[in-house]
Amino acid sequence: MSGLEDRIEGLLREVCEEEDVELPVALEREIVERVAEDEDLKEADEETLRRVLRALVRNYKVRMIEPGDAVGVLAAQSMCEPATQMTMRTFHLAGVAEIDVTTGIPALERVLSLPYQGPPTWVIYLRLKEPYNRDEEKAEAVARKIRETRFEDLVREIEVNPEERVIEATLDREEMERLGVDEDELTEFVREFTGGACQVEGDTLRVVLTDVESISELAELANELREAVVKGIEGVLHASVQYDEEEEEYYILVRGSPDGTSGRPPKWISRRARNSKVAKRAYLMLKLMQLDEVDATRVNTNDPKVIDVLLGIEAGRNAVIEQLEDVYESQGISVDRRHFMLISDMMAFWGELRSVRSMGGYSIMELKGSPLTKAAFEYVSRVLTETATSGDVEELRGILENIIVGRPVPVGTGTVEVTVDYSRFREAEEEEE
Amino acid sequence: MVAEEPHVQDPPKYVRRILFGILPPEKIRKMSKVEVTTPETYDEDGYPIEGGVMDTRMGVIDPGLRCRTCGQPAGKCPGHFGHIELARPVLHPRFAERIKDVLRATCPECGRVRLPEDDIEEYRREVREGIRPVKSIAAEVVERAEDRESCPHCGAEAPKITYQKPTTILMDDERLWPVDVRSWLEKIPDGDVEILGFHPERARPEWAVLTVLPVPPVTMRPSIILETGERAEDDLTHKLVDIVRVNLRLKESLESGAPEPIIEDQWDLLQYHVTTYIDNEIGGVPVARHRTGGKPLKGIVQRLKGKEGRFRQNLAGKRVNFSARSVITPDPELDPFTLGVPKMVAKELTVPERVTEWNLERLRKLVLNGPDKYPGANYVIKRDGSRIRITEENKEQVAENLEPGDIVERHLMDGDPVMFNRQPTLHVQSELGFRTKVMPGKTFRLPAACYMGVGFNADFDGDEMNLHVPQSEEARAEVHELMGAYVYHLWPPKDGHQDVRNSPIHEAIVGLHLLSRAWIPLKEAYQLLEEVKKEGDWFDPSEVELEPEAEYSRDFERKIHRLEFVCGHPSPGEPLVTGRQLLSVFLPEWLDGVKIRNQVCPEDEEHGTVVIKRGRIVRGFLDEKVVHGIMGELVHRYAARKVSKGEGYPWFEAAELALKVMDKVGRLGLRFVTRYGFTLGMDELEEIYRRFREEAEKICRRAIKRARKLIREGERRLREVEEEDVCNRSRVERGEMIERNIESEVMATLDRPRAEVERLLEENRDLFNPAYIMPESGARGSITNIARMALIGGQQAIMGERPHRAKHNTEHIMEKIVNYSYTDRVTPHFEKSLIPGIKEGGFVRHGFFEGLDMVEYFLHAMSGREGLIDKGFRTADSGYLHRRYVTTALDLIVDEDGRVRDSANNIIQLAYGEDRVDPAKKWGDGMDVDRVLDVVKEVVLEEEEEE
Amino acid sequence: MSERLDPDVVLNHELVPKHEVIEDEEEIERILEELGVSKDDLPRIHTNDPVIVALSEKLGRKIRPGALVRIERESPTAGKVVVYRVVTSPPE
Repeated sequence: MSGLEDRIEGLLREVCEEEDVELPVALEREIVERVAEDEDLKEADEETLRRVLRALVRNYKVRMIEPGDAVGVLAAQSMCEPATQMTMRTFHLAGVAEIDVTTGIPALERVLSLPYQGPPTWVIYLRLKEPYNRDEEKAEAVARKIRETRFEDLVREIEVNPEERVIEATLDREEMERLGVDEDELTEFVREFTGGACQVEGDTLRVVLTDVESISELAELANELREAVVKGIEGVLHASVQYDEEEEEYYILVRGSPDGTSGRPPKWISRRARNSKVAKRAYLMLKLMQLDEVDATRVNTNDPKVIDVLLGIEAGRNAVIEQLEDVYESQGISVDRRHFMLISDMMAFWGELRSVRSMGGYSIMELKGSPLTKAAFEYVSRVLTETATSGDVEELRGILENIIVGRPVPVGTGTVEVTVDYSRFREAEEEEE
Repeated sequence: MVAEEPHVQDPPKYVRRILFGILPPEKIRKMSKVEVTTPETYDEDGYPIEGGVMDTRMGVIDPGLRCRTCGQPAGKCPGHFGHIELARPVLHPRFAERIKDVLRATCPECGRVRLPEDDIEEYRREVREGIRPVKSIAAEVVERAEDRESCPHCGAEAPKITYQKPTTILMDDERLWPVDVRSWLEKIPDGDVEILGFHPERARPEWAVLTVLPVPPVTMRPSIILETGERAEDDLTHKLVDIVRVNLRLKESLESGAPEPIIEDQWDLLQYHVTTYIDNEIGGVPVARHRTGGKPLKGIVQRLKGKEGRFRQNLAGKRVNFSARSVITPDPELDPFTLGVPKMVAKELTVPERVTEWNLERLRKLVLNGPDKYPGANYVIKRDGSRIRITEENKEQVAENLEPGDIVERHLMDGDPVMFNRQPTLHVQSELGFRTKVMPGKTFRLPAACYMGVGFNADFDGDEMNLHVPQSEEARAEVHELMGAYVYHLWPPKDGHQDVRNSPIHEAIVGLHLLSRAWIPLKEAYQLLEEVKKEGDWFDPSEVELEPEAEYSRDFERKIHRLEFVCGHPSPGEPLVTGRQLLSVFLPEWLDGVKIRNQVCPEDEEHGTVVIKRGRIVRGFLDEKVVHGIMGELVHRYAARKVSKGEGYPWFEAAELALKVMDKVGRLGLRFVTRYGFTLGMDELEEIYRRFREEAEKICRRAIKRARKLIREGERRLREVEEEDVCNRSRVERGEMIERNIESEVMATLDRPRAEVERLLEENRDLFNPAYIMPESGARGSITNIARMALIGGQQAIMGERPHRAKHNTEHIMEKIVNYSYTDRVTPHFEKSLIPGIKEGGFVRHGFFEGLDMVEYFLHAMSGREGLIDKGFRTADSGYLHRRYVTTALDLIVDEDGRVRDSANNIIQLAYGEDRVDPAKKWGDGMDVDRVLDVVKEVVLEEEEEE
Repeated sequence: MSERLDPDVVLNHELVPKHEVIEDEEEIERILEELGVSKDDLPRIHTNDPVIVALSEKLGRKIRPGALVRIERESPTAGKVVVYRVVTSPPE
């Protein structure tokens, strides 16, 4: 920073003191830079500079949000009014037919209500470490590795022979090659899974199970085997390699199953998620993040709740903003981001993301709503019963309850009273006389 | 006049706080005025019976009768409660579950909660300190206590409590009757009551077992007279009658010593009636119905809940007086923010004006005019509160007696601020403040030049809008100042000046665009200015001096820009001015240094960017983008100037100024386009059709050829998969994947022609053809519209895909093709196939000009229908979202420090938007330092020069 | 595969801003006074928040409820902005 800039910055700070205003960091920087490089002001003396800076600061002051403004309503309306223009259709994402992400109102709905089962199309963006992100083949290999492959994907027919206690399956060599599973891998897996002796003869896989007792047990085992995940991570429904033009790298686009992954999620996830579905999904994402080839610091997903569980509330808040911006952008609607910031801050206030919808005890309204607001908003009889039982008090601090009761609302002009100064009247009268 | 401190007789009271709880029997008896003992309603003469359900001590509804408690007549009496002494206690249905929990958690002998003393104290502390919500504490207490087998305080054994919905409780498999429930609950000490989720003072658990039933006033359940002259009672009254009747019978049975089973039956019946009286939708119990017609009765809960329930229908939103609704029509002569109000509305909706020594004469005149002659007055309210209706007979007398302190309810007059709204009220601009202009006719008139309907989303195909007249000085001021011309209403907080709403639109923009390309004879230019002027306007054309920029000559057309043209039929030597000069007449001098790139010809060296210097449009062609840009520049530069000079809050003035200017500009545009003429008809489309038809044909043929190949290929591959004799998931998936990929490729191929044609049109624009002028200037429509009208309909899409037959399921791939009659083709016009063909798949080769053939038309209509349905869902869905979101965010308000807090004082944001900038007032992303600096420098220089 | 996320991953993730824990009572008082707010009004962060957990691990001790967290966010509107959260225990 040059000497001139320092001087200007100093003057600016003084002016801000005088005007009783604190400038946002970026704006301060910009002003100092622009004024310093301005041709016309090169010769200016301190007085002129002060004037200029004061005018600039006042221009900022006048654009500030005013106390009393019902900012929440403005944000809500600014976001919901354009929603009436949104289409409901799904848009295909990057030509990958299996993974097309919903946009429009359903997408908006899910970002704001944070359903337990996650977004209708749950996507995870796996960024890869070097050298996997520069080489399509290497990336493909990783995709293949994680894609959920079940036993039934690899075989053509499964037959059960109860007398001999044998399960036989005809291998589909093509699929095995396509999905990257070799014979030994498969036999090893079957051996472990069933506990029986497994052999391959030609194109037939034979499993002999000695300790199975009944036909039904055998059939059940065959069924379980059929659905068993041989390779990959359960929950990874699809994994395809995509190319990011901007970053000039390959990454993997994963479609996750709403039921998450197999296995019990670690306690810390279960506790933070509070809901088993959410926990299972978070667990899937955890597994993916822990892969060696994956750059965990750049992994992202379109489910803000999972981000909240794994990376904290601030990350969750940022994820909400990102998702909201995406929805509107994909519809070609521009909304000032301050509105998105407000709603996500509102959702993030309590330390974990809370939904806008009433969801059995954990939505925003249920946490802060007063009795009358809640009654007007949702299940009237339940609210009234609970309120009566606990002997709640309605302090009439919010908007809805004041409307119900017939008082001026505590917003804007409602926070202010106008009175007349009668002493002035008397003075005027006296002057007349 | 004496200025005294105001003193008000009977100052109005307001609600400060509401305490909730359960009504104890003592209070019920105390507030009651009548004990209801008989189920009869009226006697033979039609007079309410004493001690009956309609007793007059509980209120009157019949005109002519007076209430025996308060002496008021039917309209005024608010109604009074009565009560019924229940022969045996009954459980309140909505508290039954809670009662069950409490019983499970407490001891029947000593009444204490079945937990160790320390734990109870700990919980009590938690409740009192409010760390956790009471609900969760109570739930935990119950969960722990109910598992205990014996009471830690008195040692008694814990009984098994069973609960049968909705109101039956069993203790150790034997019926526990409400009377015993009550005595058990009474044993619970106040300290333990707290941790069970009840309230020792306001909601003791035993009060949930009703011994006395309050009877709501008659006014709350009025009877109605049917057309037949008969009287029908309200649902609640019916239930009350049932209750009284059964109660009476039970009392008799008890007194006469009837056998147990009979008493139990009657008791249960009483419980049933009370239950359905309170909530008729409660599960586990048959719904009480009308004797005739079988319609379910409306219990108390039913009255309260749902969209039409008390809360949403009558409390959070209400019908109001002093409102009006009518059809809207446009008026190009009205000033911005002025509303044309029908005279009949103005005569009915009045404004209360308080008489003072300064307005006495004026108001007297109004009173003298009376209610029928406009402008007049309808009522006078004297200082003692009496209301005098002004009539032809008494108007002179009333006028004479008029004195300061009275209030005159006078007709709505020009200039009065009013609220104008169009539903759905989705954002700030759906309800604005206007100045009244009373007009003949029956419709509301909206200014059309600088069009005000955009924010309302109003068009003139029959839309209706609502008017509200503010009734107090404060309200008037608020409507005028805050809801009127203010920066919020030019630009929504949604995106500030990047999203202009109220500005010239449609024809005005076409006019402005053409105007900016036109050379006009001086004489005509002055004529136009005359037409723009309105009576009593600030604008005076005679003060304008236009310097002709050129003189017409025979080869003039060759010398001007390729897009410019000459208007009228000037003779050689006649002086000409440019449209840009004309427009500049209205721009203020300080509007300087403005450069806006237009959207109509942005690369054009000469006129691609509109440049304004010192209030003059130096060059550049106008279009919608430029017009919006100019509005933004007007407001923000004005505000920046004012603020830089230290003159205070600029936004009202800035908005008014911008509107004033744009109103004139808009009118100029309209007058010009009217004069010059503009149309879009078949001739214009035909021109385009003829020019591009061949090329379009070629494009289509190419695409169709490729698509056909793809389809053939695709069908072949699918048949291969089909013939595989296997049965696993991967085969099915593979088949589906192939189909998806083919479809997406085919669709992309067939969608390209339209895009290519559009590109073709775009590259060969003829900006003298109205078909291009409309979309390119931003007035209306897009190139797509032109393409579809003139040349090609393009590929239709339903749910994002080509039209296809009913979705085949996996069986189709698994087995041979089975003859599902409709499922193998889109319409019976086509052969069966695995993949729909070109036309079958919704490719429309024709444009509307040529006309679509039958199949094309049908499929296009399908797509159109989808759009309409979509819109229907969208409206409902976005409406629900809007309601939830708005209700949740309602109480987020900015405090004095710029922080965003909610009603519980929580800080949601330490600084709004992190930079505290109001999105409606932003310039650029927050504050455009460059442009502000320009203005600032100018101002500072000016100031220094003056010194 | 471990059951926890590496603390460095959490702290360096692109969505996670810089968190700083302030436990000194006096310091907290000073900040609250400067801002002119009371602690209960501030937004919360839970003790089981992954970032808090990661920081705890780095510090080698548990971070208790009542502490303040200073968060420095990259702001698209203001450049950089500082916000505070109060550490609280998560509700049941």
